[in-house]
Amino acid sequence: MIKAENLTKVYRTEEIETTALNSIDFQIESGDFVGIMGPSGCGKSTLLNIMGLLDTPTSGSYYFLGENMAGYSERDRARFRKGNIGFIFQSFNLIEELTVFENVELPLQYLNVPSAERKVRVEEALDRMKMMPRRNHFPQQLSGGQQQRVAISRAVVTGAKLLLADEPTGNLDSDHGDEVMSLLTEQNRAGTTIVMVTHSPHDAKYAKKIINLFDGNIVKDKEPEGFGI
Amino acid sequence: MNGINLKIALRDAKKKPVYTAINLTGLIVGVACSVLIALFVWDELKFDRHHEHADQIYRVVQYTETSDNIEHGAITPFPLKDALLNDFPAFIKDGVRFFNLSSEHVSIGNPETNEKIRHNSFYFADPSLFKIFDVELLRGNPELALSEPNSVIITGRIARLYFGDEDPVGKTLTLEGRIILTVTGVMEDWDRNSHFKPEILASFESLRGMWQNYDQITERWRWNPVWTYVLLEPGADSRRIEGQLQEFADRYYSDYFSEEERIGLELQPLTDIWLHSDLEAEIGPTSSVFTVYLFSAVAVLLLIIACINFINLSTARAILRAREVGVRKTLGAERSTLMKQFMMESTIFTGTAVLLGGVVTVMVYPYVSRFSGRELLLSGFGSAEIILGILMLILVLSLLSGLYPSLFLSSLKPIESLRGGFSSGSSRNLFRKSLIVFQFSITALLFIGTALVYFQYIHMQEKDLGFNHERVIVIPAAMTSAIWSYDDLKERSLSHSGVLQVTGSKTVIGGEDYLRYQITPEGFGEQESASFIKLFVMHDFTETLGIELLAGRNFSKSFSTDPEEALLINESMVNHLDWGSPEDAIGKTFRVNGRTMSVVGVTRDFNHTYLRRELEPLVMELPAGISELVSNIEFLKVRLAAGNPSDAISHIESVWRDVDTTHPFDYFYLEDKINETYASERQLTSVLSFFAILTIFIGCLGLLGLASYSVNTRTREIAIRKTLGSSEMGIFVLLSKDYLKLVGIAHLVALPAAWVLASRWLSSFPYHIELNTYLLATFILSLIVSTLIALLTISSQSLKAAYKNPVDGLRIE
Repeated sequence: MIKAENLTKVYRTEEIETTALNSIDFQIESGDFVGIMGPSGCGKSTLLNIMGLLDTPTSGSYYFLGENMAGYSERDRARFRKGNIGFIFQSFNLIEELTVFENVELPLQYLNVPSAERKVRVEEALDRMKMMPRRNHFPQQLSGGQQQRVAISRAVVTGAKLLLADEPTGNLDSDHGDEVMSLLTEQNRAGTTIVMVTHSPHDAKYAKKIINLFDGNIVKDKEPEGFGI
Repeated sequence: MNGINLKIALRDAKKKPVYTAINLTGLIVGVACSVLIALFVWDELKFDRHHEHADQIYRVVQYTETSDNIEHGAITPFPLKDALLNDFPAFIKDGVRFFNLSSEHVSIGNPETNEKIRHNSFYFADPSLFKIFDVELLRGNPELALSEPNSVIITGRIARLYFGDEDPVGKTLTLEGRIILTVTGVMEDWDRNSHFKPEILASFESLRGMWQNYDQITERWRWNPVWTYVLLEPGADSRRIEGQLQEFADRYYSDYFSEEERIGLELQPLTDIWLHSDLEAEIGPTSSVFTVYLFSAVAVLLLIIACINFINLSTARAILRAREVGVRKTLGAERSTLMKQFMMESTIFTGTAVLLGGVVTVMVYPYVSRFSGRELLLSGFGSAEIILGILMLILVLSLLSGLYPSLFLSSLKPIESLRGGFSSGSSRNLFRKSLIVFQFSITALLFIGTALVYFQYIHMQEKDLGFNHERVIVIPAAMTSAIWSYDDLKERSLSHSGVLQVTGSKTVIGGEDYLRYQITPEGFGEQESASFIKLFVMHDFTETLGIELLAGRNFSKSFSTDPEEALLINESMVNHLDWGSPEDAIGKTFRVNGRTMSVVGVTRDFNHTYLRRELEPLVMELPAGISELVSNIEFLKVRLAAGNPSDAISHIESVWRDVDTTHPFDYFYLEDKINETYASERQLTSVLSFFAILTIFIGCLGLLGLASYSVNTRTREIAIRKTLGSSEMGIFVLLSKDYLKLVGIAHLVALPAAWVLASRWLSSFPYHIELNTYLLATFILSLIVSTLIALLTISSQSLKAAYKNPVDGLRIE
């Protein structure tokens, strides 16, 4: 599903040049659950952004569903992104002015899904995340765990093939964190590929495969301890 | 998609009530004022356009050109109309003349009740009136109403005034107490957007019965007391006619004028009169296109200032909305989709503001009408026009205020936005600052302009006119028996201890009117002549008005030949003719109307016309004989003693009633009349002050919003500074100085513009304030006031930030 060859990202300011990703290679198959780990500033978020088509590499190739995204314009990447990639953020990033239902409905609107079908799909996604009773609430009326469940609903409602999660439990207590991880695992079992950036060894155990980054390089790919939870 | 965007916009507006209120209030005030101004401008532009043939109607303007002067006047001789119709049959379809006996007020009475009222809306008119102007006769036959001698048509108001609810047709009115006019029709009121609004129109033929030498008088080309309007044939080119008018004028006028004077004629479009005409002897007051331009500019600027608030607040808020943009982009929103969303938000905002502004307009316009003395009509517009206007305004305002924020917000990069590390960027800050500078430049310009207009007004009001106008009443007496009995009236009036002096003159003094005559000073050749302003006065003129005599003596009854031989001149005349000192001028002579007259006295210069005209050399003469007296003395002037004047005025009134049973007694204070002359400057001051206050208000709303956001986004910086030891005052100065700097820059930007505009405006006044000194003073004043207001506006926010616990600020990250 994803293949990176000599993927390099360099940030340049007037005086300083910082290499965030240094000619890395990796491959992620469909149905994988990959954890990306590493200390702060190692390039985890840069990698996630490139994988999410939010950013472009400075050099090298990045294949998504068999197509090299390196030369795509922002507009083309936006078109490719919608429907194929779902995002889950540490800080949830729900739109405060919209209700739970409306937040989940938003990506379907960008896909021009008809209203009746939207309703069915949103309700289905919320039902799976057990958020239907809160459909008319606004984000600030929900707990952190509930907000993240809404965010997962929003990420999966389009039937995205790839879910990118950036520290999805970073803002949650351990009970709510486990709940979120279980939901992601469930989603992965249903066939969705998941790439998750995390600092937490506990969360990393949910992944089938770990990419360790250090100073923009992959240290080694390994299978997490306790694989198969 | 639109539904959800609408929801976001409404919920966002509700969630941030201060921001919403600031944005909405600015726009509502801007819209309401601009709509009111637009109504006023529309009203001004509509003048005289209601006539079906408005584009083919022209007024004939006559100008007199001498070697050193050219004067354009709205009045023409009696025979001009017929000569034009006769000589230009292919171009001129018809013509109409108006004549008001050369008097501002004419006495009209009801012989049955003996009630007499003075009117300034009385004219004689040709029957062709109905073919040229769209005047509807509610009663009577337009073909006949003004054909017969001694027939008169009146408006419904006049009919009710004299006859109550009775049918006026067939009833009679008296003109000047002696001519009987029969009412032959009732006309509808002239449209309020007419440059003149006659209420009583007598047939021109009536003059035949009034003047024994009617034919002689009406064949004279020298006397020009009538206003002549012509209707051109459809498609006739006025410029082509004008090309032939000089030859026409030479043919008819040359016998009546000397070689030095050349008469010319022009055709002035009817629709130009109200806004573009400022001729001698206008038929009524006119407005000025300057006012239209000024008001239109103010309306546009007010809207721009209100839109700038929106732009500034929206872009400043981008910091807070960046995350939303980031989320939407990651969810698949394209830039165009986001642009649409933000444009929709601005459209909702401006749409709401326009609708609420409309409501405010409807609520306040009766008060504005009353305050401005101008009835602005909303009912003149059809619903389609109103809807179209509203939609246009919404479209223009949403584009003006929404385009930049939409482009800016939709261009944010998703990663930076999501990371929350987005900063509004120095170029955007610069843009926002430029907009604030622009806003405050306009405010400064208006402030400085208002102050300068005010100082000029005060300057004119307080200028020593060279005569004492306090406690002087003026009695209009043209063509009244009071003039015939002048000596008797004067003597009996003076018998009251409250009456100090009585005199008379041709004009009011200190107003717009003056008359120029051909007068030859001593030393000029037989054929040479010069044009000077001459004023007919009665004895005691200088004493009554407190005009200082520099040399010689006043006119005196002791010198019985004074009316035929004596002249008073002013100091400017002595200087103009290079006669040395005032004493040297005594005994010098002028040739006036074939008579040689000597200077017996020289007065100190006094402003015999208003201050918009430069003081000129002046000759004063007594009327010689009763016919000169009757035709040249139109206003009596009475100086009253200090104290309650009512008893003295009642006394003069009772004397008046004895000597004149035809004309009602009427008077006004000279001081009031002179103040009235400067009403336009006073009005300009109040209007400009109002707009200046509004722009300051709207500008400060924007400043308040920006300061509030600036404080919000700098919370962490403020906390760090405080942790490192900055005082509250230090924080206050830090947050305030940026904005105060902008106010200062705005003033520097406004200064050259203010200088150019003020010097152009002031150059139209011969007596004006010294520009550079006053400009500097008003500049400093504006800077201080604006700085204080700005400081006051942002201090609520700066102080809040300065006194905040730094721990709260540091916790944010």
